[in-house]
Amino acid sequence: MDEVGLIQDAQNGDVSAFNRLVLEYQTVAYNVAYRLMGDPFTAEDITQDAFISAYRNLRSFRGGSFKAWLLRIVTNAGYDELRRQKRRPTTALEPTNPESQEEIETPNWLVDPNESPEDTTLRAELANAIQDCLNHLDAEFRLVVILVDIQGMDYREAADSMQKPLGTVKSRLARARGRMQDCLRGFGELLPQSFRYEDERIAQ
Amino acid sequence: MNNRLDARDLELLSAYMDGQLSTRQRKKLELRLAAEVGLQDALKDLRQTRSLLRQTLSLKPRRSFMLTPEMAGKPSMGGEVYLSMRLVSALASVLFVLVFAGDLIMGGPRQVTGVSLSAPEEAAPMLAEAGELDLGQADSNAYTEKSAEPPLPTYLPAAEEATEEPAGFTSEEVTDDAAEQSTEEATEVPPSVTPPPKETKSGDALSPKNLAGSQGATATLRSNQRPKNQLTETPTPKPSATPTLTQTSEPTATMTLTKTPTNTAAQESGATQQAFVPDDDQIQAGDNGQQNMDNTRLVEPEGALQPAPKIVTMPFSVFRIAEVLLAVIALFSGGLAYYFKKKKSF
Repeated sequence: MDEVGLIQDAQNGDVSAFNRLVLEYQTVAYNVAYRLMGDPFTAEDITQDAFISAYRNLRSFRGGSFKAWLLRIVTNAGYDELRRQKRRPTTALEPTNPESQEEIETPNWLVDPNESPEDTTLRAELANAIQDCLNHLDAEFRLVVILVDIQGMDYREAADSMQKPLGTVKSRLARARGRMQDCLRGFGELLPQSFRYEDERIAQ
Repeated sequence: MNNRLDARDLELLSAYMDGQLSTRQRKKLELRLAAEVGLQDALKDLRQTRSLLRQTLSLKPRRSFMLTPEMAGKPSMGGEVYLSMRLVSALASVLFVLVFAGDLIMGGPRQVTGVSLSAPEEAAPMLAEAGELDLGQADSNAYTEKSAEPPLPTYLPAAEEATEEPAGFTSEEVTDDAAEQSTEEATEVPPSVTPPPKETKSGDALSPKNLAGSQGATATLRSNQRPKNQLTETPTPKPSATPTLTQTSEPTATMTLTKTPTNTAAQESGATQQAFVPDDDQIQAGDNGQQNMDNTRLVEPEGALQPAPKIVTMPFSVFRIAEVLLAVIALFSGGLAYYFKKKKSF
């Protein structure tokens, strides 16, 4: 795919050329949006809006990594949505203790007693656990984990996408990994045996 | 585990996993890893975490996000406008700094002065008006109202003589009384209000007995009040008469309006200043009011008492106007750029 040529054609108003770029990047854009928001419907809306915004402002693209530029639009749209949700908070669907009426903070409530094709697979459990931990991270830490560890971007590309210095990416990633590690320990028995931490295996 | 690791070690281990350390840092850390078991365990846990995260399933979108022509619409010019506004804002800011620096370097007064060519033309009708009024009505009220007008740059030599015509008042007495009155009036009477009866001590000079002289005095007052007040450095034949005349009229408005521009003229033009100095012949020539008025019309064309050049004072210099314009442009374009940046989520 001649990405530069497609971009130039799209800048001249060729929608079909831009749609070829959409096909190329829609999966990564949707995944970033989903990991950032934790909700598939909101992620779809954000992804669609981001592509529309990208097309309409394609003239401002001045070269470099198109993927980083596109993901920057996606993450900015996600941040805007997160801020909007913060202004209009919704009631969390977390369980409460029937006796004390306090929220149950342990992640065990995530274990669905009903069997479903998704829930019977360990990877689905792992995905749920990871997403839950991501949701508990601050947005800036969440984003760097999504870009580097989940999407596999290198530090430079992530820095371009986040519009932050390389050192900021390094430090945020280290702290985010530390927090993710602490969070995932709470899902001990949900994790596949091969992914359990050393001390948990020793304890068993 | 992380409680045992400080933030610096955590960052080093994280970067080490990703191969982002320099050779020197990497070797140093490897030496520590070989010696510290806790650090090795921490590295293992971090690798495990990263491995877990990398196992995250890549979700397949449930639908395509391709754009339809309706969704695409027309490509917005927002990006270009944003870049253009940003550039304009930056340029305007730089120019503003340059102009401001130039303004500081050039220094000097903020006002631009110049000689108005219309000064003589403006002065002439006012002189004529003064004569008409004084001849037609020997009323101090009329004088007072007119005295608030901008002064005429003309000196009438009969002023002092006419001022002394109302006998019975020494210059000191009149000065004291007028000073008190002027103080009171300055706080109580607006410039256009008719002065109280007491004020017309010089109005005594307007008694029927001295009506002719008073007419001259009034004419002289109107046309002479500025030169007498402003030319304080130049000795005049009878300086004591000056405050009397001035303060008999509306003090506040007259003083304020007449002093500023004419003083500037006097400072800038020595020749003009000389022209206002009355000589003895001119003073003696003003024995009565009608003669004064005749003198008024006679003196002006001679050229010895040419009106002072009118000073045009501009409130803003070119530098100041440019600074304001550039600041407005910079702020406006910067605001637009910010708006487009926020709206388009660049």
